[in-house]
Amino acid sequence: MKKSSKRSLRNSSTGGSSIPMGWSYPNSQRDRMSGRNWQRSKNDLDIEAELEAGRRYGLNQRRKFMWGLILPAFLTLIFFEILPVASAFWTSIHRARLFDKSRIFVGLDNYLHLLKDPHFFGTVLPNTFLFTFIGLTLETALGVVIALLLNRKFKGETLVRVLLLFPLMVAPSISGILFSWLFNTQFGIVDVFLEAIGFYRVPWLAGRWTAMSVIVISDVWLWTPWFAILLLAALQVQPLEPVEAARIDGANASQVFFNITLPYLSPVLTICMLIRTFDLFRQFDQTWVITTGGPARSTEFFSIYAYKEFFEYTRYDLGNAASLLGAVVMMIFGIIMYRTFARITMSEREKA
Amino acid sequence: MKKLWLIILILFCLAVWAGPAGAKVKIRVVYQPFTIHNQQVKWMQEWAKKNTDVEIEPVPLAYELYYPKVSTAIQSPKCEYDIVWHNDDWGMAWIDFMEPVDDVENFKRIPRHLWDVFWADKKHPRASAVPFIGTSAGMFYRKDLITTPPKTWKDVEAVSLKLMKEGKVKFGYVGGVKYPHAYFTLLAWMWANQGDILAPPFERDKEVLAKNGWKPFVTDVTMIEALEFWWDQIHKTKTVPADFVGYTRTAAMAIFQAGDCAMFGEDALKYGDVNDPAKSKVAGKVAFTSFPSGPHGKGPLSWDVPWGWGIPKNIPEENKKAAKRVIGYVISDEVQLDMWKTTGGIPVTTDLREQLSKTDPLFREFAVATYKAPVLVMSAGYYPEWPQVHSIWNDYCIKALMGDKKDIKKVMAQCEEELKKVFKK
Repeated sequence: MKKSSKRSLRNSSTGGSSIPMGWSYPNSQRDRMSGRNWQRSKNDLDIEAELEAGRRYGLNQRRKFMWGLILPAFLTLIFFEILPVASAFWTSIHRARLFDKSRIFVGLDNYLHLLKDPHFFGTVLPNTFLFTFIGLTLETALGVVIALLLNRKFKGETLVRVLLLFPLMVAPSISGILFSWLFNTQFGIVDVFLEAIGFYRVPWLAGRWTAMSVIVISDVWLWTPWFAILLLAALQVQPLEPVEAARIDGANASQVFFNITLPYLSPVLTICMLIRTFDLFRQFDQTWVITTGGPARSTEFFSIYAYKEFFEYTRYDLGNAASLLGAVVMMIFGIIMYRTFARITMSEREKA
Repeated sequence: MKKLWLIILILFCLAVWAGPAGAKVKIRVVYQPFTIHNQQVKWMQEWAKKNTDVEIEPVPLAYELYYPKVSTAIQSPKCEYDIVWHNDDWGMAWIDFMEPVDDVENFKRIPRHLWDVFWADKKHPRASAVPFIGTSAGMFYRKDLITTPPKTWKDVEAVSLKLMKEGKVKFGYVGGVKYPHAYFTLLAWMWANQGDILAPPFERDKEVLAKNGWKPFVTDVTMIEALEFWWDQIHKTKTVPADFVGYTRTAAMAIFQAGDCAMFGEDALKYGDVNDPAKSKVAGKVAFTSFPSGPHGKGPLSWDVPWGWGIPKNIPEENKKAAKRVIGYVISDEVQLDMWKTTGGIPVTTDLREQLSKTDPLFREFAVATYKAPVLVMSAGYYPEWPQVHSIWNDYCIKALMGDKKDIKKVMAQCEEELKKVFKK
């Protein structure tokens, strides 16, 4: 815009001269040397001023428009992201309990308290990472398998796809209630079935690992279809030529999958896995409904730990510190994950 | 002239529109959506139909969020609620923010110990909440299977084993175990053995507890015996379900209602649910007794503590006046009798209790089992740290029940250390 206006001005008033109008003055050193007296007419100056004013006005208008576009998002970011995080941080460096209004500055004491808490390191962190790892692995693997199975023509294909969507329509807390009753030792169908085929009833929610497995199963049930649907969508737009060419060359199904389909799916898979990693890391609803972090705090994750500190013990300072610490860990973990996935995707593409 | 008429007409319309609306006081009632509270709110709304100057707006709030949310509201410049449900063990934290309510109608008919409980440090001579129902607890048992109600832990075990052996029930006893449902198992058994979380046992005065250095009592033999009893029932005699440690009171009630269990620990006010033919297979076969006594106990145990309604200080004066009128009504005989008949909740007024004891045999049975039980305990800790102490203690008890029997004392020693940290400044 700036360049074109200059160009048009030059062309119209100086007949294509290389000296731009308005940039040289009658008594300048350059004019004296060239012996030419560049004197602009009043008309030229008016046009220039008008154009300059117009340019400035346009620029201002554009700026205003840009700010207008950015402002809602900016205000949302300030009020719903930055201020709450800043407030949480402020609380975490002061003593803040429900009935203690002293708000004494304690620096990083609350963070140190968490880092020294054996329960936090011995149970909460391992639980969170283990749950994230197992959940992600199972959901990804099953999602890929289901997507591959559905990516072919068969009778009742539409019905199966609709049924697959069913868990996605269920709220996580509802799924928690559903699974806590399914695995109830007295009334649950799982134990009734186990007993019918000659096994003992298992007190699922009375032990750390059995309770944890119920949470994992409930999460896998809820989120595997999400993987499957997204991967199926990607599979359905996959070009068939490379697959057909590979088959003509004698490649078997697993070779086609590992050398053509998987590299093709890898960008979608990366994004899906990244999103789910964060989701799994901050898991709350199902765990709260199924075990509330028990028995004896043995299935507590990051989010449950922070919730308990905040709402159950009403130690707002420690609750906020735990949340922020969780966010930092998640951020570091996310960056590592992203870089790893990006590297894998790149190498898969190169291989493809 | 026309203009004048027009102005008069507008003013008249405004007066008609604003008159009744302006005079109406809106009372926002916050409570946990539980059978008892729902019934109370229903009566408040009935009252408001007759008293058209007051409008009741119910605000149900999940139990898990209730305490922190309402605690914040009562400390704010202006509380958003006019009547708040007040649990008996929140008084120590809420006392400075609650309006004195002993001038409420019918209040003088309530025995002092029921409203003393809201401020157990004896510094505040005026009541900060109005009790509206007794939350006394004990054991429901199958009167078609058990002729003499068990009085001791040994009785409970013996009758459980007998009925299980005869194939009449799958389990002897059920009750909530996980936090905050352990009142009817772990806490009741500890108190029934003269044990407690802090020393001296059964002491509820904050000053005395502070003088004693907030000393935990959880490694005492009374506590260990209670845990050993439950350990045996879970792992040895199996008179309780295998996943007992994960039980909420709702899960426990489902087993009793299904007819799979002989005894069930709960608040008396669950009588309406266990005796309702639409919900329970054992309706009509249910009786009620106190918690059984342990080896160190002094007899069967119960508690006579209430739930109350409080009025925050930080609301307008006219709202306080209206709130007091509403609360005065829900402790009237009409409402209290309905509460007893529909839910099994023990009325809070002394004269009505006496009258019912004379005229209603079922109430007499409940009275003997609850507020007339040989041993009464104030069933909570009455200091601001109580929710935290309660939760930590409960988690360690479950940990002890999940491990080896010989490690129970070791686990409770860890619990003692954790509890000491709570009171460390």
